[in-house]
Order: sequence, then C-alpha cells, then structure tokens
Amino acid sequence: MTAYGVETRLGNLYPLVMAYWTMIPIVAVVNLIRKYIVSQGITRQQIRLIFIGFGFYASTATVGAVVLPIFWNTSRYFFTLVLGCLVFVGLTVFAIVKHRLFDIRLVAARSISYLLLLVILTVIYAGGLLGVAVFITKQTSLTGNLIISTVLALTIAFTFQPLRTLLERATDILFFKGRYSPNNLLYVLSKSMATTLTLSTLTYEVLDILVKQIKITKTAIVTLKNKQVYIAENPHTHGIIKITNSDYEELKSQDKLLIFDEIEEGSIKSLLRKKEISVVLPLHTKKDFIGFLMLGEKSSGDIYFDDDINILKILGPEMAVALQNAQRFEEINQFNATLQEKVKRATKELSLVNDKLQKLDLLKDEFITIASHDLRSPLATTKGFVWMAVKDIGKSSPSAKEHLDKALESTERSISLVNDMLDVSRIEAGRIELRPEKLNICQMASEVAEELANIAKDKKIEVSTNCKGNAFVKVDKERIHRVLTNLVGNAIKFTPELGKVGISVTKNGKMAEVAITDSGIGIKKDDLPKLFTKFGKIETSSKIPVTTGTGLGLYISKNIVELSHGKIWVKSTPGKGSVFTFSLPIA
Amino acid sequence: MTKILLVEDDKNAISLYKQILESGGYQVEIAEDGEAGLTKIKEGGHSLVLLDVMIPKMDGLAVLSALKKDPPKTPTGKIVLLTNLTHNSILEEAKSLGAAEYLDKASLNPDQFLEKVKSFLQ
Repeated sequence: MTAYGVETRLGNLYPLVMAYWTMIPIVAVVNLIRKYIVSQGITRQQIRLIFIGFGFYASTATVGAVVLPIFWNTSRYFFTLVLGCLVFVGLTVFAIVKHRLFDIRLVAARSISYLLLLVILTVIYAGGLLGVAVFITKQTSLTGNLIISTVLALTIAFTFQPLRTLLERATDILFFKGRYSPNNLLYVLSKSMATTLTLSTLTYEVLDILVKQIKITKTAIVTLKNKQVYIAENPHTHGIIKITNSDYEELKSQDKLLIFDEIEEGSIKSLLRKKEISVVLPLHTKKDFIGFLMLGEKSSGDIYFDDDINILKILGPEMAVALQNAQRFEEINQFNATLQEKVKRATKELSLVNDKLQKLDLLKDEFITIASHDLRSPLATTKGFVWMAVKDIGKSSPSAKEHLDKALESTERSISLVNDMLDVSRIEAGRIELRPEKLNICQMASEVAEELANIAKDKKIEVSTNCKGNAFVKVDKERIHRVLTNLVGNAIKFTPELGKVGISVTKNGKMAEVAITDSGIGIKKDDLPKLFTKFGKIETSSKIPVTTGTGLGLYISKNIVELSHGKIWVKSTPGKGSVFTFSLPIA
Repeated sequence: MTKILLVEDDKNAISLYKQILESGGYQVEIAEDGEAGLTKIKEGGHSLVLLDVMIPKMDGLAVLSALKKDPPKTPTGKIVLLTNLTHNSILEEAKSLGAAEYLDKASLNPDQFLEKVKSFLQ
C-alpha cells in the first residue's frame, strides 16, 4: 500500500484501531443528537453547525481512511481526512465565535497552561536524561537508563499537580485580569439585600455593587408600581436602561432568562438591541413575579460568561424576595402615612363639628337664659299684684282671699318650676355655677326649719333641729339652702298630720352630715333608685293629699350636693318614715 | 322725701314697683330704657337706683360700664339690680361694674322687697 511517498504497511490489528476510532465519533454523535432533540434556539443552531462539520469530516474520513484503504488498498486519499477535519474545526470555531458555545478565553488559558506544563515536563525529563548521560554515566546502559527514567518519572508525577495549579493561576491572572470574585460578589450582594429594607436604597446598593464588580455599562431594576413601569433608584444616572409598559409586558410574556447573544432574531432580540440590553433576569419569588434585573454590555466588551449567568441565577430569587419585602415595607409606610393623614383630617373635622356644637350649646344656653327670664318676669309681677290683692281684699272677703291665695300658690309653683327647669338645663350642660362661701350649716338648718314652720304648723307637724355647736362648710349658700328646703319641705309634705320631722347635723370624719328624718309614709324599696332621677316622682298612697311637684327637686339636690363634693342618700321603711341624708366637706 | 330711680321697661312691673315703693313712702322716678336711665343717673338726686338688666337701647350691664368709665359728677345712691335673670356670671359682672347688690324679682313678695330697699338705704 502506498501513500504519499511513504510505504505504509497495515498491521493485523488495523481494523480494530479503525473500529475504535469509529466508535468514538458514534458515541459523540449519539450524545449530540440527544442534546439536539432537547435543545432550543442558539444551542440548536450551534449543534447544527457542529453536525455539518462533523458530517463532512466523518464522510471524508470514512471514504479516505476506511473504505478506500480497505477495499481498494490505497492510501492516496488520506489527505481528504485532513480537509474534512479542517472544515469541522472551522465550523466549530464559527459556532464558538458567533454563538458563544463555551468560554473561549478559558479554553485558551487552560490550553496555554497545559502547553507550558508539557514543555516544562519535557524539559525536566529530556534534560534529566541528557544531563545524566553527559555528566554522570558517560555511557548508557539499559539498567542505568531504566533507573534514571523511573526517578524522573516519579519527579514528574510529584511535581505535576503543584506545577499545574501554579501555571493555571499564572495564566488566569494574565487572561482574566480585573475579573471579580464570584464568592465575594455573592457575599456583598447578599449582605446588602439582607440588611436594606428601603426600596430605593436597596436597588441603589444592588446596582452599584453589580456595576462596580462586573463592570457593566447600563443597568436597571424594573418593577411595577400602581400598574405602571417603575425604573428603580439607580446610582449611575447615565447608565439607566429605560423601558415602556409594552416592553415590560413583552418581556414578561417570555418569562425566562434572556441573554442577547443566545436568542434568535425576532422582536425580543430587536427590543434588547434597541435598548442595549445584554441580559434580562426575571425576578420571581416562590409565588409572585416582581420585575426584571436588566444588564447592558460589560464595559470590557466581554460577553457574559457561564459564571456570570450562574451567579445571576443564584441572585435572582434572593433579589426578588428582598425587593418584595422592600415594596411591602414601602406600602406599609405609605399606608401608615395615609392613615395618619386621614386621622389628622378626621380630627380636624371633628374639632370643627365640636366648635359648631359649642356654638350651638352657647345658643341653647342663651335661649334658656332668655326663656326663663321672660317666663319669670310676668310671674314675678303677677305674684306681686296678687300678694297686694290678698292684703287689700283679704280682710273684707274671705272667699276672695281664698281664691287669691290659690292664685298666689300657683304663681309660686310656676316660679319654682321655671327655676327647676333652669337648674336642670344648667346641670345637664355642665354650666351650673356655684359660688362657694363659708357658712354654718347648723344655722342654716335652723333657718330652714323656721321658714317652713308655718307649713308644718298647718299640718300640726313638729319640726325639730338638733345640732351641737357649729359645723362650717364652704358651699353655694343659695343652692344648699334650696337643697335643705327641698328635703325638709318633702318631709313635711309626706308626713301625716301630728307627725314629726327632725333635722340633725353631725360630724363624720371630714364630712358634716345633715339628716332629715320624718315619720311619714315611707318609700317602697323598689322605688328608692327612682328617687334621685329626673322626673323621678313616685306614686304615693292616696291617704295623704300631696300637692303636685315637678319631680325635679331631688335630682337637682343630688347634683348640687355632688358638685359640692358631697353625697346624698336615703333610708326608708314604708309606713314608718324616711331619712334623707347629705354630706358636705367640712371647711 | 327719699327719691328712688326705677329703670324698667315692663309697664306692669313699673306699675307694681311704683305702688310698692310709694306705699313705703318713697318718691319714684321712672326711666323706661337704658339710655334714659343713664342720663337720669348722671343728673343725680336719687338715694337709690333700681336697675333692670334686660332693657332696651342699653342693657343694665352697659349702663353700669358706661358709669364706670365716666362716673357722674353729682353723687348718686347705691345701684341695685332688679331682675329676673339668675345667671351668676351676669350678677358677678354687674357687681364688678359697680352694682351694690341684686334683687331677684320672682323670689320676693312686696313686703320682702320693701325690707330689702330699706336696708339698701341705711
């Protein structure tokens, strides 16, 4: 068999070698086909290119190196193998250059380091052998050579690993100058994301770190805010990627990591080209879609390597969670502010309403003042005239006197009714005005007993006072006088003829207690709580003719006593009598 | 004869108090509104002034404050409020403006009224 000028003789195992060399591409092709089936887009195109190259190479190899030598016994066409190989390599290189098949720089760096390693090891081995032969043994024997070779082989075996590491490091420095450390980047970013809660600060810091470490020309974190695209805070004002609502929707419909170099021509690719975006990383939490991290070209002009993409893939979910937290925090803060604003507004409105109410209250007060004044005026005049008429005609005409007495009594009752109404309205408006002055309550008790003596005498009731010494209190004289008059008046009113009414004043600690005891009809237990309420009149048995009252007396008395820092209470036994007691602080 | 000025607008009230006072042996002069009252007080010659509060043109308090600002040259007797108002705040204000006392019309009968007048004249 003759090839190019060289006589080639095939050994017996030549078909076996060929079979081995055929197996390898078959396995490779099977792998590629499997990959081709599952791959999409750019990877598919790359594999297609490799297929074409490989197909060419395989067919030339089969024809030139297998079929022709075996069946026609000629190695004349061996060169086609080289041609096919060149086409294969060419297409593969094209795939790499055009479509970023793998990190070519890494391959270059590793190739160089391995090449250097090979050179160094060869020098050690060959140099070692030569050195020994020239300087030590002078002549070579098989045994000597064997020993030397073994020693050298061992030396190589032990120095291989450290030497390789050393060379890789050296070539890395040369090839990947200025490259960031992925671990450091992850650490810094994670730390920032874990410690920042304000949305603007978070995006600011994250983008700053990314731009400074990976050295990117343009960046953006894009989210939605009130259904509008929101380009988050960015430290590099000249390097912000800006997209519109429709761009956002289009990218969202893709919902996957987009790398400009790897996607096929189409609307997305032109969008990315127009906006100078190299990478679009969708940010997802487990449940929600948050937005995008967008990166422009690296300032070095490098492509995004697998390392970069892997880091981004790790960062994505973490960044999404951090962004969501920050968004929620912002929402809570905003909600808080809105709430405060609302409370403030409501408070203002309330205070306006309150002002109005106060004005209305004043008007009401004024109305009551005028109404009571205007009611009292004619009553006062009537009272005066009737009183004079009683005096003038009374002596000559007993029947006229009786009529006029009744008119006078009615007038008096009207006056006290107006007085009571006025007091009640003041009590309820909280506008009752007390004029406290120091007085002897014992003395007042005697005065009231005296004032009411006439009425008591009509019913043959004896009114006694029991007060040892003095009991000074600081109260509104007129009003306490009314309380006392009211209580003693009631006692007389509800006591049958020939009964007894007693007023006693005793000191009990810091309080002076005034008790009005009667031997009257008493009050049923069920009626007791009603007594001090407004219009709390109770039904009495018909045995005693009781003149009508307003039912306001005890209510007013209770309020006046309480406003004077005292208390009022009652004990009663039906059929036997009652004891009304009020206390006032001793002055 | 002791002269008393009654500043009052209610015709019936005027008639009542005039009769009571005259029965007590006093000479009564009448002013039917605040302005007339103020003029008469300034003219002087009254041993006592009975001043209603709710009167036309100038109310009783306004009369008092005008007198306080510009006291009459001729001496005048005590000024006593004669009213149906029971507001402590109004009565206190009247006192601070120079009223000597106040009489609650509705709570007094003619005898009691005359007694009070007598006490103011002492």
